[in-house]
Amino acid sequence: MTQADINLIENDFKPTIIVFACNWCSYAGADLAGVSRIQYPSNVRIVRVMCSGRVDPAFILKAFLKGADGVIVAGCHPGDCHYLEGNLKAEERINNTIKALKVLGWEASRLRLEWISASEGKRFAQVMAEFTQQIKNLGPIKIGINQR
Amino acid sequence: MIKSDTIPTKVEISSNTTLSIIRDCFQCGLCTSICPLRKVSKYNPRGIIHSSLLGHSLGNDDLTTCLTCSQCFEECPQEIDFPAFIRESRSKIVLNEENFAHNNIFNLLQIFMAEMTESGMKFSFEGEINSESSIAYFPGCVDLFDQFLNLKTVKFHQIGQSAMNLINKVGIKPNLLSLKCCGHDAYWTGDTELFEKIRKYNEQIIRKAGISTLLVSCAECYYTFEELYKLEGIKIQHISQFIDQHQSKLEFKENLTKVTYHDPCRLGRFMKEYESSRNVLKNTGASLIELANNRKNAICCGVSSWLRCDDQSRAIMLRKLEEATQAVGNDGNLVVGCNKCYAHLNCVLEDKKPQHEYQLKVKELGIFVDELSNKNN
Ligand code: SF4
Ligand code: SF4
Ligand code: FES
Repeated sequence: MTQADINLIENDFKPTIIVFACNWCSYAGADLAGVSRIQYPSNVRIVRVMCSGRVDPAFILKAFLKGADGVIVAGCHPGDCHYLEGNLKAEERINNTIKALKVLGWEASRLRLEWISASEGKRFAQVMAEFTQQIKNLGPIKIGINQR
Repeated sequence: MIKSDTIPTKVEISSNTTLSIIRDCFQCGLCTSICPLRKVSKYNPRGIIHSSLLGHSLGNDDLTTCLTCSQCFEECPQEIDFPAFIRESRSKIVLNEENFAHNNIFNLLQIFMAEMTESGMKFSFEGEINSESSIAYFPGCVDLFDQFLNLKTVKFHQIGQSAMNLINKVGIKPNLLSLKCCGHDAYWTGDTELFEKIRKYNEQIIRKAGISTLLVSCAECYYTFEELYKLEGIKIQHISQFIDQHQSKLEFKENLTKVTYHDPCRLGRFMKEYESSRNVLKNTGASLIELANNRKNAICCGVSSWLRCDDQSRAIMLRKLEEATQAVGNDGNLVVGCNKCYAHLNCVLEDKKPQHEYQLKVKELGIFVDELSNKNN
């Protein structure tokens, strides 16, 4: 029995959440949440990327295929991107990915884009808590549902 | 195969299934001399067969570069099905995703459809639909192309919309089937297990719909449903065959359009369907001028199964545009009967990488015919 199964039986589903956080804003925001000792759900796994524009839709699909229950891409607020327009690229890509997930008939709300700046430690924690709750309501992701 | 972590990355001493395909090769080298890749690189199918016969292992590049266009198989005096050999070998190793087009997003989407979604793709088109109809239409992955290819002048959704318009114009209200991707790429990247999952789901939906004809726009869908699904009692029709069959119900505007036609490998060499598209094009009143290499000698569009889109692919695409420009000039049209050819050729046309001056238009058959035909007769 895996940990995931045990969690389910205990009716205490702990979703795995992958956060792609940009180095210059959102990662620093997460850091601030940490040093300020603000509590946020421990099932959040942060992947640091240099810019939210680095996140290719393929990374997101792979995260889901490997068992992530939710994915957040977090970057600097528009206008603040360290590389000027990386976050606008990210916005376009994530929106397209969400549209594609809808075409596939899948719960697109498992994917979200957020702007979190380096000073918004508190907001980082809030977003994570709220998203975790949302994913909990959706339940665990299902992989391998179509049998051969 | 793309996803597993446990399979080796090199095909060791070819297994019996792969060897039996190439055993009769007498090393004449015709395949290499005809291969479109050979004209732009050092790719050498004869050499690959030779080293396999000697028991050497094959690497990723050998297996992912081949376009499986089947031009070599068409000419081989010994009838060696080299594409089948490549497919069979691919199924024995993990392909290295690094060089794949668009970070492999399209193959990932296919895996996603097989593993994660309970339904098929959701479509919405304008036009009249009848869910009781005995003829159903399936546009293919067009709406996914739109999200990840981001071409400015091309909307892939239009492929489905034009087909719907045409079907309505000839007085038929089709059923619109919500299938998953046909699985062509899963099959040709060697992932038989994934393909089977998709096939099983789709077959069940097709059977449930109670149809007798399944109409598709994409040459790959046509080949896959017809050859790999083997759906007894269900006729698979490519859009070109459908229009050809209902020619008499369409009326065309007067036009002076010049057009040439690219035979997609899956429709032409694989399914031996060369004439329907040509009949359809001639009937529109446009003047049809053949490419220098046509029918069974048509040259591949340059990319297959989203495996690689590199300098070689682009060189092949440019040659295609050159060939077409020689036929119809800069104000002509190059019509294709495959969603993928349409994507690749338009991409290089629009992207201008590498720099080029070609200005002709690349159009999908359904879109082309829909534009030229009158609203309603
Ligand atoms: S054309 Fe056929 S027989 Fe000749 S080298 Fe190629 S595979 Fe062998
Ligand atoms: S299938 Fe096409 S690309 Fe592959 S070796 Fe044969 S001719 Fe060349
Ligand atoms: S550096 Fe933060 S989004 Fe580009």
